[in-house]
Amino acid sequence: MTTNPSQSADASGSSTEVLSPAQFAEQFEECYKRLWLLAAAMLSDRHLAEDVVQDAGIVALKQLEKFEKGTNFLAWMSQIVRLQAFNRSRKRTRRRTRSVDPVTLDTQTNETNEEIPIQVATTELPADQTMFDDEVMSALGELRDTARACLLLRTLHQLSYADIGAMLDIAEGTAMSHVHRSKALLRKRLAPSTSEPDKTIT
Amino acid sequence: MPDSDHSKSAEREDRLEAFLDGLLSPDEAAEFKRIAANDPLLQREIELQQSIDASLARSFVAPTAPRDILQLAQQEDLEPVEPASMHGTSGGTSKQRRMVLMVLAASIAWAVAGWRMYVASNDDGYQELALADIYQECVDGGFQPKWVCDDDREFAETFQKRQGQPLLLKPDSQDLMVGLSYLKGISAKTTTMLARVEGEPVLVFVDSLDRDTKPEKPSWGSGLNLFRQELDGLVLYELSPLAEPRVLSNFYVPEELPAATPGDADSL
Repeated sequence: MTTNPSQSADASGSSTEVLSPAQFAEQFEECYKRLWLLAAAMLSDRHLAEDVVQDAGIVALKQLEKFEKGTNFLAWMSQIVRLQAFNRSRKRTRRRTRSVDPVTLDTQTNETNEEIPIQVATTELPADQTMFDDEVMSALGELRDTARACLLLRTLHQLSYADIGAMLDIAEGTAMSHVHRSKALLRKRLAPSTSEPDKTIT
Repeated sequence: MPDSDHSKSAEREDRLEAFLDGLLSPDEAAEFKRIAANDPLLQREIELQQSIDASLARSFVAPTAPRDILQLAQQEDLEPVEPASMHGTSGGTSKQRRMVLMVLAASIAWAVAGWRMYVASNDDGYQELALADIYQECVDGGFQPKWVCDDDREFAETFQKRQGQPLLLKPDSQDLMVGLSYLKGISAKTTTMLARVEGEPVLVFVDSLDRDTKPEKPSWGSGLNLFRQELDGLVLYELSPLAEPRVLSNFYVPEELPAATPGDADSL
């Protein structure tokens, strides 16, 4: 579990004190990976996520007076990142043809006839592993943004549910429910007995 | 399912999730592991979750943080860092310095871009472009082919000349086709077919197998899927917003070139 920058930033400072740009840069760097993962989960695009977090950092710098030193820096930055990501995704042309209706997604069962796109060899990973990674990403793409963000922040950064809740502005219990439910959905979708290989592709 | 069975099943699921999430105490976790060791189904669930977690870790390797967010902010001309009185220099000097920095940054960017283009070039002067970028450019340009073949023979001959193998579409799938273009993609000699499936633009890149450069898979957020197929010395990549390949299976390599049918402008 990583430390929360907001808690270690300044224990002695008064609540009305404003972060200096240098202090901001330090905390921004410390939070960067979690902010990037949040943006990547919201946008489903790792490169765009980098842009969004960078933009959010610049926006935050312009508004440093709005952040109270000693409060939760990660939560404050997450709010800006989410807003930036939301604006980006609104501008982006969506070409997906698969259903993204959150109501149907949560109840969606395995699509046994679905053919999974193959992974072309871009890494040194064994073919079956890259294929599995593709399937995981495909299944992940069917989760709701918030559920995906909860799952990734918990799984990859082992954040507490309090931290995840603060980042996404949701209750801790909701964050936990998203994580457990998402894991179960991914397992159901990726269970070997129900996934069929694409026979048309070599 | 009887209520008691349902309740047991839900309890088992909750216990599994708590275990996978590291929420059980050491004693509880040890007990759960003991139970799982005798329950192949449970064991499989745990192993699958571990595989999924490992896959996520592979797919979401975080980039390094920008070296200096303050400098980036300055480049945006925001100047939030210090009040003007703290610069110790006049505003004109600061602007000049910023201008020099911008020119320097632009020069470096051009040099880097030039170097990358040089490195990406092969002997034919071919420069690698991401298939997704080619797709976007083609769609933005109206998804217009360079030409539409007059007949099957012309279609097959195009591939014969460029890829060393004739290629044809099954008769019942020819209405998918929009036409042909040279959009590169795999190599400088790639022939690209433009198709429409359920109204969606689809590209099929065809090249000889020995020129296969294994193009990058489109990014997750592009909304595009890439499918690959080998066919008698040819390699075909279908790039599509659809979840499954719809064009690839319609190709075949004819034993001989079909006869020309002059005047038949509707067929490919």
